[in-house]
Order: sequence, then structure tokens, then C-alpha cells
Amino acid sequence: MLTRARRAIKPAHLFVLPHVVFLVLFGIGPALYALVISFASFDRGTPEFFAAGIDNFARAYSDYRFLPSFWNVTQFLAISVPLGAMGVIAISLLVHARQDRLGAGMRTLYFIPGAVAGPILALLAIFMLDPRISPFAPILRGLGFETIGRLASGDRLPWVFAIMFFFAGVGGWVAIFFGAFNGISREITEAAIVDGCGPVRMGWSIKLPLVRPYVIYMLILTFAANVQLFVEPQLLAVAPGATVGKYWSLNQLSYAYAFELSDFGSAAAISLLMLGIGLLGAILVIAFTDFFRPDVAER
Amino acid sequence: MKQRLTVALAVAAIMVSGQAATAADPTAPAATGSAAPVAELTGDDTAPVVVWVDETRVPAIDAWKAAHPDQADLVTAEVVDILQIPAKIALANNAGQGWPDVAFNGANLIAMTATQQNDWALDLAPYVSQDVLGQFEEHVIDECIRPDGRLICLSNDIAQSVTYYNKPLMDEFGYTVPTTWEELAALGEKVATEHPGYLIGAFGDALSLDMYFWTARCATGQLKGENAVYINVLAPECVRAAQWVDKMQALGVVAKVGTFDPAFVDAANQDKLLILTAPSWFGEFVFGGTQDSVYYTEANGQLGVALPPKWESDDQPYFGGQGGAAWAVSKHAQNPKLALDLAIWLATANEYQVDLAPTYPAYKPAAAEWVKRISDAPLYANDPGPVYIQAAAYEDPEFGIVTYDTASIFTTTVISALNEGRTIESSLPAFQDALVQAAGVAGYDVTTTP
Repeated sequence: MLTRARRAIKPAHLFVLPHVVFLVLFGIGPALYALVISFASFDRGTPEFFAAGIDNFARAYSDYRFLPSFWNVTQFLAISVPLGAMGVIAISLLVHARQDRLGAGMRTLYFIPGAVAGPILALLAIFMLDPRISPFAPILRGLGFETIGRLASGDRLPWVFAIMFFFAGVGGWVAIFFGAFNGISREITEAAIVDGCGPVRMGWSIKLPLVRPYVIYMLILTFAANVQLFVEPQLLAVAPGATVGKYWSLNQLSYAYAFELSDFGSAAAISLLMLGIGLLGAILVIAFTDFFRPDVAER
Repeated sequence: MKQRLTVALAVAAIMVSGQAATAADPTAPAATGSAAPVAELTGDDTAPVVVWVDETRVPAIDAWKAAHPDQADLVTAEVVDILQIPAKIALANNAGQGWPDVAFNGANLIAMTATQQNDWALDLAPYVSQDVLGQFEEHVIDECIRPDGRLICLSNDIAQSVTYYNKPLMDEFGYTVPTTWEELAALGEKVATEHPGYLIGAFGDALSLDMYFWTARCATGQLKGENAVYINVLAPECVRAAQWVDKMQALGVVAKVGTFDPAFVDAANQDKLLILTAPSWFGEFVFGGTQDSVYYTEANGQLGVALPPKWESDDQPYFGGQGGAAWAVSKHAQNPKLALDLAIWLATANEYQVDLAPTYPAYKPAAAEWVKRISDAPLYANDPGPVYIQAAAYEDPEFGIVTYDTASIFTTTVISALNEGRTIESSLPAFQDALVQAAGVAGYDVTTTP
């Protein structure tokens, strides 16, 4: 036992260490704090720990805005996760298939939005969506949208946010997939070409199966990130003419509890729900795929 | 040194409040009546005071420092997004530190910081004399007085509703300025047939709630007690406003966008805006008449100012809220005396309210002087001063300062319906439901019948 406990520190541990530090500071720590204050009462402004029981959960989950927000986010996820996954795969296969200047140029072009900070990108997207100032105005007008109020309202919002999210994230993922495709052994691709494999077949049947873990990894991360939709609706709400509610997403509702009603307990209850959904998504994906089977990448 | 500072403080306080008797008898209880002394705040007279203001009010703090060089070092102005003040105070409550000592904000947002949870705003009632309080415009200072009698702020300015009109255009078309909403509707019908393309209003953003619903006395939240509210937007007061807008928008004389929408601004720029009932800050800040103004880039004496229209069945015109703001003092101030004196000075002193304030002062003696500043301005066709003074008294006494966000609910129900091509009247039931639900979550007992 003693010898096992004094096992030497391996290089892998050192590589993981910085991540573990940040994970504890900005991930696990806040999550535990949220768990603690979700049972605290904020009736007098300052937290009284464990005074609320499950009142905060009852209050937040029975709020009249809760189900609409939940439904909004569900619709958004149903669009944004598949759209994101398919879009990223399609674009990175295309970019990788053209190993020339055009391919490299397109790769950079897709990456540029990803290099801009999230809220600024949301603002840019709002400009793009406003028929009065957008360079795509003729297309938007052609579709019958004269103002951003007409475009960004009601049933179209999940689509609008999905598109905003897609362009914000696509570049980074394309870069990752490009790297993954580059890691595929030349022998395999050359053998496929000798066997008469065309570019479409090459992408679908050769390259994609070889980077499956990356696809799964992307699904888990985009799902968890998209559950926490906040910046896009929050900024679109203040765009002149737009009529997005202040409580469109679950994260916005949580924010409203904390900063409009000063009820950090109920806000934490909603945050925990989002964390739970993200975790559940990850667990399901891992359970029903072979993500952690070591032979996956080698198959 | 410290002693001299204390004396200076006391002198400043006396000069500001005009209550020499106060300092002489600090043990006097709170009382009403013009000659009665008020209670004294005690604390550390040398402790600093932090003031949260928006960019526009920084000159107010500078003016105070210029007038009080002895204490200038004690006061720090911090520019914040004032819409975020309730959120920042909630965070400070959690941390147990970091509150501002004085804050500038809308009365509705100050009310959010005076709830049982936030408990930040100090009740000023015992400390402000009736002499001072009585000089504020009556129904405007009422916005700062909670149903339980607490005085949570001192009003800074009034956004009274007035009628702005394009004088040369009205003369050219041979129209007279309407005095009722019914007359304005009749004028709208005439404009639609005689001069299509000209506008008499705009309804399409959150400000439309103030301009059309609150001027009609629509009950989006009348306080019936500290935690009791009456909400009925299906009542005749609201329906008349909704039907008025629907009719005018169908005729094309009221724009289906807000007053700051580029399309509407263009119309005003090109002298297509005939008449607009709007808050009084529109005169200087929106019509303007300077090169970088929103509506009029030249001042040619073209802007007429008249009393706002009233509804025929009402005894007078009314307005509610519309962006008037106030000064509040913290319960946690280390130097509450200086904080209070500062708040009183900011709300009342001529050095700020008359010489510098960009908006119409809520403090009547200052307002009487303030209007002289703009009486000869080349923008106006007539002296707006007397109109502003008279219109300032029209705040609806039933207008309630509630802690839920009425404007955002209005946007997501009524304006949303408008954008979807439906009528305003058809959106009222959804507006009502959303208001009732929001009030419930905010902790109000809601009644929907008078």
C-alpha cells in the first residue's frame, strides 16, 4: 500500500496539473458554492445558509417563466447541436480536401469569428441581422424581414441564436478537426485512393470514422455550452426594435433571480439544473458511444 | 484640522437645509410642519462618501466639490451603468461591503434597493425638513415615498409630458394644436387624407408605454399598499389608448416604430413629423436644434411647445414616470450626514440644478430658474417655460413605482404583437397576464378589479 501511495509523479500528472487547478478554481469550486447557496435563504439580502430547505428549488422551478425558458432552450439545443456538429464536420472535410491556398484561406476565414470575444461577436451578428444596416440586407428583405424586430422574434429566435452560435464556434472546431484529419496516417488515405475512393467517400468512410472521439468530444462540449445560452438573447434584447424577452433562456432567468429579485438561492437552483443537464448529456453520450474505449482511435 | 472640518460640515449642512435650528438642537425628534426641526444623522464626519452616477451627472459632483472645497476630497464619483445598480447592491449585500453611499437612479430602480431583501436605501423622512420636501413638485416626490411612508429618495428631475409640434408645418397646413386625444385623432384623420406621409406620433418601443398608456392612466401597477398592487390593463383607460394607437397606425399617421428608430428620425429630420406628445427632455435632447441633435439639426424657431392633450373624460392631462430620476442615500454610509447633505444639495442647489442640470428640475424653486435658461433658445417657436411648469403638475397620483420591470413586459407582449402584425388591443390580455405573473413573483398581492 505504502509503495503504491508513494508512486512517482509521472509527466502526465504535470501536464494535467494546470487544468486541475483551474478546474477547481473556476469549475468545481463555484459549482459547490452554487450547491451550498441553493439551500440558503436570501430573505434579508445576506445568505442564511441551509435556512431555505428546498424552497429555492420549488420557487425557481414553479416560476411562470421557467417552462417557457426551458422550452426555448430545448428548441435551441435541438437546432444548434446537430447544426453545429454537421456544419463543423462538413466544413472541415471540405477545407481538408482542398490542401491548397484556397483551403488554407477558407480555414482562416472560418476561424476569424472564433478569435473575437463572445459578446462582441453577438453584437456583430446583430448588425448582420438588422435589415437596415446589414450587408445581407437584400437577402433579409427578400425573405420579407423589413426590421430586426420582424426577423428576431417568436419562433424564429431559436434559429437566430443557433446561427449566431454556429458562426461563433465553427472556426475553433474546424481548426481542431483539421488537426485531427492531419493526424490520419498517409498510408490509409493513399491506400483508399488506390482502391478508387473519391473525395466524398474518403471523407465519410475513411476520415470521419477515424476522428470519432473528436466528434463525441465536440457534441459533449457544445451541448453543455449551449444549455447555458445567455449573451446572445441578452444583447439582442437591447437591440433597437428587437423584442426578445429578458427571460428567454434558463441562464437569463437565473440572472434575473440573482440581480432583479436578489434571490441568489433560486438563481443557484437554476444554475445547478443547467449543470445537471450538461452532465447528463455528457454521461448519455459517453454511455452510448465508445468514447472511452482505448481502441477507438486506432480502429 | 479635524475640528475645523467638523465645523465646516455643520455650517454646510445648515446652509443647505436652511434649518439653523436643527444644529442647535440635535436631540429634537422627527416632526412635520415647516418650522419643526428634523432629526440629525450621526456618524464619522471624516469618512469618505462614494457616489454612483451616470456619465451625465458627473458634473453635478464636480459642482458640489467646487462649492465645498473643504470636503471635496471626501467625495468620490464613480460612473456606473445605473440600470445595474440594484444588481450591484445585491452583490454588495452578499459580500457585506462595497455599497455606494449615494446613488443616482430612476425611482423604480431605487425602490428595488429599498425592499426587504436589498434594504439599502435609507429612509430619509426623519431627516429632511418639510421646508425642503414641500418645495418638490408634489406628485413627483411622491414617487420617492413608499406606501408605508418611507422617503427613499429625493427627486432630481421631471419628465413631464408635453406636446411638441412643427410650427411652420402646422401653420402651412392650417391646423391648430389639439388639446385632447380625441382632437388629435381627428387631426390624424385629416392628415391621412390631406397630407399622407406626415406623422403625429410613434408607437413601437418601450417608451411608447409611457407616452400612450401612462398618459391615459393605464393601471400597469397602482400601489395599494407596500406589497399590494392593482393591475388592470383591460380597463377602459388602457383600451382607449390601445384603440387610439390602432386607429392612427391603420391610417399611417402614427409610425409603427419607436421615436429613436432610424426611419422615424429620418421623418423628423425631413420635417415630416407634424406633432409629437413626448417627455420634456425631448426638447433639448431629441429635437435639439444643434448640429448633432437627433431630430432637428438647425434651430429656426420651428419647435412649438404646448400643454399635452387630455382625454375628454379626464379632468386634466396626466403623465407617469417617463425617465425622471432621483438621489438616494445608503443605510450603510459611514458618514451619513455628509451623504444626506450631498443628496439634498444635488437635488436642490441652484449651482447644479439651475446652472448645469440638463433636465427639468423636480425642485420647484430651481425649476423656476431653469426654464429661463431655455426661454430664448432659437429652437423654440414659443417660450416653453410656462408650459413645462404647468405640465410638471400633471403627474398621475395613481402612478405606482413597482419593483417588477413593466417596460420589458410591455416590449415582449405588446410591441412583440405589433411586430407580428397584430393590433395593440389584441395584445392587452397577454400584457395583463404577464404583468400579474411578474408582480406575483416580485412578492406583490395582486388585485385586478378596482
